[in-house]
This record gives sequence, C-alpha cells and structure tokens, in this order.
Amino acid sequence: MTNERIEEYLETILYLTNKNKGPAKTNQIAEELKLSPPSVTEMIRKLSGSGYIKYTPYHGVTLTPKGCTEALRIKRRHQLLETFLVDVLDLDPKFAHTEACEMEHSISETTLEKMCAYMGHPEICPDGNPIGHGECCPTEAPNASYRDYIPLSELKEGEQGTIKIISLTREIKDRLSSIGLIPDQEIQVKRKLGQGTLSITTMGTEVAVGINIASKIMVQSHGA
Amino acid sequence: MSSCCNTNTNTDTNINSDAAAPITIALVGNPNVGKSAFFSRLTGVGVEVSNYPGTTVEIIKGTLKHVGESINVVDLPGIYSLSASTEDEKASMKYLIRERPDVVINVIDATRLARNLNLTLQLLEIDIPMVVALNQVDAAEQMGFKIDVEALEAELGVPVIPTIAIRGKGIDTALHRAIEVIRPLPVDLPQYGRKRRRRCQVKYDDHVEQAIEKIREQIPDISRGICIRALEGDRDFIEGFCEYPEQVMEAASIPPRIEETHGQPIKDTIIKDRYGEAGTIEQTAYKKRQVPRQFIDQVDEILTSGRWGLPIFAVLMLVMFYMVFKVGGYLEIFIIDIFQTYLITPVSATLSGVHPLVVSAIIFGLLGLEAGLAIVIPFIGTFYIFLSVMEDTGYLPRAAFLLDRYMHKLGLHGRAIIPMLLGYGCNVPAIIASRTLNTHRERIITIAMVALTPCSARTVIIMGLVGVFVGFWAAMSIYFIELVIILLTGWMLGKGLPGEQMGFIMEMPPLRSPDMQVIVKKTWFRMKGFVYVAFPILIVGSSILGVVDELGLLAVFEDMLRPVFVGFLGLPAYAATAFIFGILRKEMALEILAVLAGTAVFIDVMTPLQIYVFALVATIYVPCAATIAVIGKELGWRNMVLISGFTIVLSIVVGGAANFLGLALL
Repeated sequence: MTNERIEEYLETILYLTNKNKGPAKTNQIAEELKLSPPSVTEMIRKLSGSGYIKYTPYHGVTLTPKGCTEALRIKRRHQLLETFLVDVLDLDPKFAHTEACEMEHSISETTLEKMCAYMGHPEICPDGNPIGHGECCPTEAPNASYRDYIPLSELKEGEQGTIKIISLTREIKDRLSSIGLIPDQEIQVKRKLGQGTLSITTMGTEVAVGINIASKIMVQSHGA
Repeated sequence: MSSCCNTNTNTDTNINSDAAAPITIALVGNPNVGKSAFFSRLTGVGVEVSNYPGTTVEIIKGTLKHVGESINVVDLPGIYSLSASTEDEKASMKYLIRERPDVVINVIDATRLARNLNLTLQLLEIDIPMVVALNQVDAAEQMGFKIDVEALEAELGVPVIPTIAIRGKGIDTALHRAIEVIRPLPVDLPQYGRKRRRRCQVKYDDHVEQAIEKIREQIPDISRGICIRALEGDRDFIEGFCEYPEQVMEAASIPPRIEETHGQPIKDTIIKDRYGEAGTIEQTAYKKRQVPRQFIDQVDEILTSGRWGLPIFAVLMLVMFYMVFKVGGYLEIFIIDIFQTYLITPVSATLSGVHPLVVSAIIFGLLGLEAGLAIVIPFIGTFYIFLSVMEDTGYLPRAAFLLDRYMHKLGLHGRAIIPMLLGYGCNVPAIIASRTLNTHRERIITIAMVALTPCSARTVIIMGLVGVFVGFWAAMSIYFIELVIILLTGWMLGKGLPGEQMGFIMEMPPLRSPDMQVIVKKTWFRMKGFVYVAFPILIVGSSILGVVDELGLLAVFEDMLRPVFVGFLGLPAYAATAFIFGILRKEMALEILAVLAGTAVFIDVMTPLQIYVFALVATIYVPCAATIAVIGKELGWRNMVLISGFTIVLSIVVGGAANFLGLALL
C-alpha cells in the first residue's frame, strides 16, 4: 500500500467521524472514495494492523491517536494548499480543491512551511473551516493559545490585557466596536465591583460593561 | 453688498438682506462631547446640558444670522459611529441621510481623540462638507495633552477649530469656517484659507481596497464612502443615498473571500483599520506628559468602590429627600403666611358686597396662585438643584454602574437607572430618555416603572402634604411603598415580557466638580417650564372651579363618586374633584384640594390618615396628561391605556388597604 492511499483513507475517516460524531461506517468510506466495499474492508484491516485505526465489526472505524495526528497533518496540508491556490493564485475554489487533493501527498514539509509563512499563517481556509496550527506558526495564533485567553470578567482591578475574541451577537459587537472595543485593542480594568460589573479604559475612554458581556470577551492578560 | 462687518465675527450681524437660501448646519459627534453646550452658545436656545452620554435624545433646531446668512442649526443626538443601534442614534442617522445638512460641524472631545476620530473618519469618507470642532481643549491640556492643531488639520484635511463650548470659546470661529466651506465669504472678512486640502482617507487592507474596486467596477459612479458603507452592511445608509440600493448591496456582498483569509468579517477588518488610522493621527497631533493624580480621581474611586459605592448612593438619596422636605417645607409655610396676611385677607375684605360668583372666581384664582407658589416652587426647585448636581458631575452614570447587577434582576441593566432617576424629576423627559436603551422590551419595562415613579410634582404632594402635616418618616414611607410597587412591577414585567436583552455597555464620562452657576441656570430653566405652563392652567382652572362650585355643580359630581372616595378610601367628597384636576398636572391635585378645602393648612380640615391616603392615591393613579401623551407617543396607545388603567386600579387598591389598615391600627 502506498502512502498516498493511507493518507486518503485517514483523511476520509477523519472527515466521516467528525461528521457522524461517531465511528465511520465501511460503506460510507467506500462511497466517499468511490471504491467497492470489499476493497475498503481489506484496506481497513491493513490500516488497523499498522495501528492507525481501530475497527469494531458492525460498529465502524475510529482513528487511533497515531492515526488522528497523521490525518490532521494531511488535512492541514490540504487546507493550506487550497488557501494558497485560491487566495494567492486566484484559482477557482472547486478546481483548487481537486488540485490540493493531488498535491497534498507530494508536497514537502519545507515548502509547506514557507507557503504558510508567505500567507501570514492563515487561520481559516476558503471553505470557512479553521486550519490546524502548524509548528511554523507563531505561538500567538489563536488556535494554539485559545486556552491561554481568559474572560475579561476574570481580570482584576488595575490589570491590563489585549482583547482577542468577542463571542457576542453582531449587534452587541457593533456597539462595542463603535465605542472602541475591538480585537487586538489594549485595555485596562479601571473599576470592578464584587458582583462583576466592571469598567475598562481604552483609547482614553472609560467604558462600563456588565458581567454578561465581560464574560464573553476573551482577553490575553498582561497582569497589573 | 455687505460692507460694515469688521474682523469681529459677531453672530448677530445681520447685514445682507438679499441673502441666499438658509444654510443648514448639523452638529454631529459622539455622545457627551458638548454638542448641546455648543448649540446653546450658537443659537441662544436653552437646551439641557449634562455630563452623561444620552442627554439629547431628540433633534433640536435653532436659527441665527451670521455675516448676512440665515443659518439653521441642528443639534443631533450623539452617535459613536454611522452604524446606529438605539432609537436616539437612529434619529440622528435618519436626519443625516434624509435631510442632508449643507455642512456638518463634527464636535469631538479633545480628551479622547482617537475614539472620537472613528466617527470623524467615517464622516470624511461620505463626502459631507465639514469642519471639526475640537472641544474641551482646556480639559485635554489639564490631562497633560499637548495638541498640535495644525498637524491635526493637515492630517484630516478639513478645518479644525479648538473650542471650549461651555464657555463659548471658539464657537464663532467654528461657525465662520463652517460657512466658509460651502460659501465664499465677503472679501473684507477674515479668510481662513479656503485652500483645498485632500480629505483624509483611511487606507484599508488590500483585500478591502480590492473589494471597493470591485464594487466600483460594477457600479462606476459610486463614491468610495458609499462602497465602504455597503461593505459594512449599512443598508439604511445605502437606501438613503443610492438610486439602486439593491444593486449596490448585491455588489458589496462578494467579500466572503476576504472574511476567510482574515478569519474575521470584512466589517471588523474595516473598523480595525479605521481605528488604526485614528490612533496614528492621534500620535501625530498629540504629545502626552504625565500629570499627577488629581483629587477628584480619588473621590471618583470611592464613589464606585465595592465597599462604599452603594452606601454613599443610599445616603445621597436620603439626604436629597430630607433637604427637599426641610427646605421645601420651610419655604412653603413662609410663602403661605405672606399670601394669607398680605393678599387673601385684604382682598376678601375689600370684596364684601360684590356678587358671590365674582368673589368666588377671584378668591379661588388667588388661592390657586398661592398654592402654586407655595407648593411648587419650594419643592420642585430644591429637588432640581440636587438632580442637576448629579447630572452635571457625572454621578448618574456611576449610579448606573453601581446598580447594574441589581437591575438584571428586573430584566434590565444599569443604563435604565438614568431614566428612572430622571423620573423623580419629571416623568416626561425620563420617558423620552429611555430611547437610549437598546431594545423595545427594555423600553417598555423602564417606561412602566418611570410612570410609577413619584416625580417632583408628586413629591410636592408627598412632602407638601404628608411631610409637612404628618411627618418626614410618614412621607418617606410613601416613597418606600412606591419603590416596592415600582420594583415589583419591573420584576413582573421582566419575567413576563419575552424578548431580547442587550447587556450593559456605557461610556463613563469623567467626574467633574459641580459648577454652581451652571446648576442654578439649569434649575431655573426647568422651573420656568412649570411656571409658564402650570400657572395659567392653575389660576384659570381655579377660577372656573370657584364658579362651578358656586353654581352647585361640583356637589353633583362628588356625590356620584362618593361610594369610592368616601366609603372605600375614607376621604372628603371633594377629593374626587382634586383628583380630576390632578390628571392635568399632578401637583394640581393638592392645589385644588387647598382651593376646595378653603385653606392650605390641611390638618385643620383632614385627619392625618386622610392626608396619608390622599397622597398615596394621588401619587399612584394615572400619570399626568403630559406623561400619558408621551407614553402614547413612545409606546403606542395600547400600552398607554394598559399602563394608565393599571395605575388607577392599583391606586384604589393600595389606598383602600392603607385606609382600612390605618383605621384598624390607629
């Protein structure tokens, strides 16, 4: 079995397990790869033997940690290539997808990293899905450090931070941005009441926000 | 042509009789930057000026003459950006889009330049002729900013005039230069240089620029500003400015590509770039030096501290009501004494022998005037001094901050505190102020609560009647009962009304020490309303009442309502008539009661319990005519009828309960 085939299988299984929110069925895989079920069953046995996947009869296929890492790596390659083809070379998205499917198996890590850096380490691919975080990407990238962000409501009085992600409705986001609260903006907590209402200063303006809003603004804390 | 004008650009110089069509100037800017002060100075029209965002919620117009031109000035409610969300902001945007002022004076707050420039840069993009008034330069200097006005002017590409609106500095120059932007001025007037500068244009991210280009390829004669508004998804704006709005919105809907590469909607990219530009401009024009911490900052800190904030708020409220009671009560007795001794007694003596109808008309009229002066001025005046202090120092937004959490229990948030506190002054402006709230649901709850709030006219009844003749704490207990009713109403509506809720987001203006001159002026401005509107109704109404009473018609009416008023509430029969007048203006219930009772010393004719029940019913049953009208305007007649009906039932139930409880206990 060639590397390319393994990669195609892993990629498909990853896609299907995400979609099913559970194991991928053999006939689903066959359908996706346009192969006959018996040949898929054969391949699954081999992959299972190499420790990439776990197969339970009548239940389906799941990825092992090893298989998952490999699948995510391929997926990232695919997305980066697609992004490059669409955004930089301005190719048609559909064509770019087919092209990326071919290229993802042959491109070297070095070229891929250069490509990623060239595009400024993009975070979203043309289909609108988030692109996995690569070793070449700066650690600041949200995917990597999302867990480092804390809600604004957890900053203490006097502490500073940078607004990173605002997960609120469009309407509230508009209101916040018109008053000067936008991502990457530096802020400092000026007042804070025990029950959570707080006020922050940004661009020389003090803005009071309720706890319901403050808990949905993710910030990177810089301490006091 | 004009000839006499010298370098002194006086706003009153009316020299040109064959002036062209009047120029319309609109004052546009962020909330709480001093537009109203600017407007007031410019037109001489007295408008409310305060220190919290959202003081002006209606479009206000004034006129003046300047170097022969007729000028209409329009003060617009503050907006943070061209994307409006609250009622008052929408009114501003609608005006800008539909009425298209000839020139805009963009008033910006020099103490928070970058934030203000966001709107300025948007205005520059949409090609409205404009000048920038850099207001509160004195405050900015105190904060340690050194401002290079010329550099700012060069960056923005439009005239920038430093102003201190509250003291009238720079106002005339700003007006002059605003006119200069659109009309050539007579040669003998100072010319500020009409050199055509290129207006500042934000250079956006390449992808945004490409999107703009793409729209312009499809619709060639579209301006850059319109493209940006379209990309920001501002449909109202596009519909107001474009012949083919659908086509433009369609062309602007291409950018999913940009959104994906940036991982954020194109709107966010645009806003970010614009703020970036604003920040760069600020850095060019401003130098900051450190200034030592001011005393007022320490006061500010204590006012909103977790430990002291709420106790201070409670004490302030109590002190306010106590002072209204003390000062108002003292002045009331004082004025009544003077009236009785020097007017009523001598006049009734001279009128002996005249036809009783005439005597009734005159004496009732005089009693009405007495009641007005003695009851209204002391209480309302004192109350408004306190309210003005809270408004002007910037304490109101701090109260909103402190109480935000508790307001959530009512399905509201802190911002609603401002209309509610204003409601203690007068329900009408308070209800209008609810336009600054974001959702319809919040507005209904707040307005219902405001309508139940004992306004200063009702304070006249509570303090002037119960406070003076029963006692301070008896009066406070009425406030307390009503506060409980207000909170219960809010809580029930909050539970019952479905709908969206937007959280608490409010700009906090800096705390300022109160300026007594401003406060006295403002209190007088508000008192004038009462005097001019209420007194004529009061005097004429009292006279007519005297005649009707003399003819025996009042007795018929009072007999009809006897079961409720005498039987259930235990009040004198004539109280019914007083309540009817109270619908016109709340405090008239008390004034007419004085007229009907024949004395303003109520304890001589009513028991303390009757006084208490009267005050309770009078302050709860339907709000006054003006309030009813404004509720109808803001929420529609259905809600108006619902709220009014609810209060009538409530007042009789609460009044009856107090009566029976009082009879049982006392």
